[in-house]
Amino acid sequence: MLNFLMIVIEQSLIYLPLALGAYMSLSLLKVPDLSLETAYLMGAFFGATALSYVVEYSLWIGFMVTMFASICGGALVGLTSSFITSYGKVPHLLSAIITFGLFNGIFQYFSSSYQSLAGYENVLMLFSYGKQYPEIGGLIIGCTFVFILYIYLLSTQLGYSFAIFGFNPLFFKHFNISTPYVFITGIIIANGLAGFSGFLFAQTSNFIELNMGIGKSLFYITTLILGRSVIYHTKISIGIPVAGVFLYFLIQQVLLQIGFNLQYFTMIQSLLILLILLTIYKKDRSLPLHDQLGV
Amino acid sequence: MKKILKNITILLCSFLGLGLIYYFLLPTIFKDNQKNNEVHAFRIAVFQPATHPALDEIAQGFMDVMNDSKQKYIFTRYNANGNKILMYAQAQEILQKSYDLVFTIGLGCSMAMKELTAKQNNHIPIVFCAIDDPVTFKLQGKNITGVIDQADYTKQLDIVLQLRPSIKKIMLIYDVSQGSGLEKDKEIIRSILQDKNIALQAVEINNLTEIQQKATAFMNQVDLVMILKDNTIVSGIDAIIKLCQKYHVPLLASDLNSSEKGAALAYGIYEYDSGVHGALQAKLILEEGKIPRDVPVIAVDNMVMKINRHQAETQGFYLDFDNIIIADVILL
Repeated sequence: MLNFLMIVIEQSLIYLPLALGAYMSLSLLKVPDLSLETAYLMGAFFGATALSYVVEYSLWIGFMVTMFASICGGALVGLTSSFITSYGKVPHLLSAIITFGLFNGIFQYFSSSYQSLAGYENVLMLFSYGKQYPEIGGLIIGCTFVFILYIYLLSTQLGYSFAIFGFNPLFFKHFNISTPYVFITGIIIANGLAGFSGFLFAQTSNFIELNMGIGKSLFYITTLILGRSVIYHTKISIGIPVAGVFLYFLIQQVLLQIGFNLQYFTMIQSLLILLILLTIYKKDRSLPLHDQLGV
Repeated sequence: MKKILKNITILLCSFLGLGLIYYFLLPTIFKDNQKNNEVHAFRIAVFQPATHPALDEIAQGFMDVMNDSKQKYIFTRYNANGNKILMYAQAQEILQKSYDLVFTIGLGCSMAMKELTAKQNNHIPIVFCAIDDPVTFKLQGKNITGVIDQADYTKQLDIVLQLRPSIKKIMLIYDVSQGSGLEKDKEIIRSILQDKNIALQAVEINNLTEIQQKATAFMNQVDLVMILKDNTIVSGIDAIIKLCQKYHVPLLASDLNSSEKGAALAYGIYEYDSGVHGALQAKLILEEGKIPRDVPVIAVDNMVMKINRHQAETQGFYLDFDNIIIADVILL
């Protein structure tokens, strides 16, 4: 039972930053942000590159540097996609696809399609809780740090601006406030978080791979819908991505334990989304469904 | 006057004769000289689905043997990086560039080339490698031959059970989207293990990122993790090695290169030899002008078990390594 819970917690912590990023862009800004998938890859790549430079330093320094590098990697993707959207007057879905193509090429130019991290020190092993969970300490510290900053950010004026943008993107124009500033900053932060998540995955799995971000959109949409199905009484709550990501891995591990063939897990995810949308969302018509994704 | 006209006619005929000699004879002599000075180089495309040591070794074995002859060969390497769309695009490109021969490694590349050549009625010779059952996948034709690499799971599992008879449950991780007979291999392994009263836990994945999520749940319940000759898994073996080290469960690979990367046990052929055999077939086609169909398909069967001593201990596979007396077992 302890092992079961630890697996759920460990997996949830790895993907929590991605869920937080998705919550910011999909739920607050209400932008169909597929560039999170690219940010996930580039964050892992930047973090892995930084890892090769910190081999001689202490684990704490290595942890801070790689964390910062991975957030920067993701943020760079966010900056590119949001810049194309804001100044190129291109729909964000399209600019996210363009960004995917651009960074796919950049990644392959600077790295091979698969890179092993087995030769480097594991910067997440700051403390070790038992022999089987040596990375849990690093994961908790990294996620707590990000989580606190995230809560603080959402309580600031800028944080509220993201939610206002989601409900009325033209609001700022009426008050002579720069709309691109709010939009670009929001997307950069969201993608930076996805980048950090990508690095956490790369470090815990010991590799980075060109296709590692592909398919993550279904994951973060599912987590947000799952989270909203639990915390549906409030329109905005940071509990949504947290509960969503925990529930996602709880369901996944329960299915595994009962012997369900996870070959069909993608189908289960889609059915789950459909079920929640048809039951909980339909029941409570006061729930906001302004955007196409409904998250 | 007549004499002048006669002289002019003789002169014109002489010029005409010289012209004809210059036009027809000299180029032939010149061409012959060129032929004597230059050796024609055959252009070969080496086509592989992804990057991992086993595939690279096959390609290296092939190129080394081809280069070890008087005939000149120019190689162009194609790597699909695990991307099936890119694989078909590269197969198209290979056909457009009209190579003298294509050396394909693995089922995906071989099937892509076979389908395209059949569709476009192109007869470019194909020499395949690293395929266990070409008949099932209808990898046959006038322009196709190659090297078969058949796994021997009975012997592989027998050796492992001789080394550790207490094994009661084995986890098999494989990529279902590969479609290269891995499902069939799983069933073979299941039936072998059933006879030995050993349970099999199959973990099907679609891409490398799923390994961590799906395999972790069973790591505490199994005595051995097994992987097949699966391009996806072998190219991304680091995630499995890490899990095996973390949970102290030994990893059994079905290719020898994985033992150097960190698998405690690895059973298979020397991949380099597959490439060597492929090169010998390619030489028969290019240098002796044989039709690929007439070149018999060869099977490579020099299988050994490699034990990575350090990794075996890290993955909880403790043995009296110095007193192992099983044939075909090599200690690293």
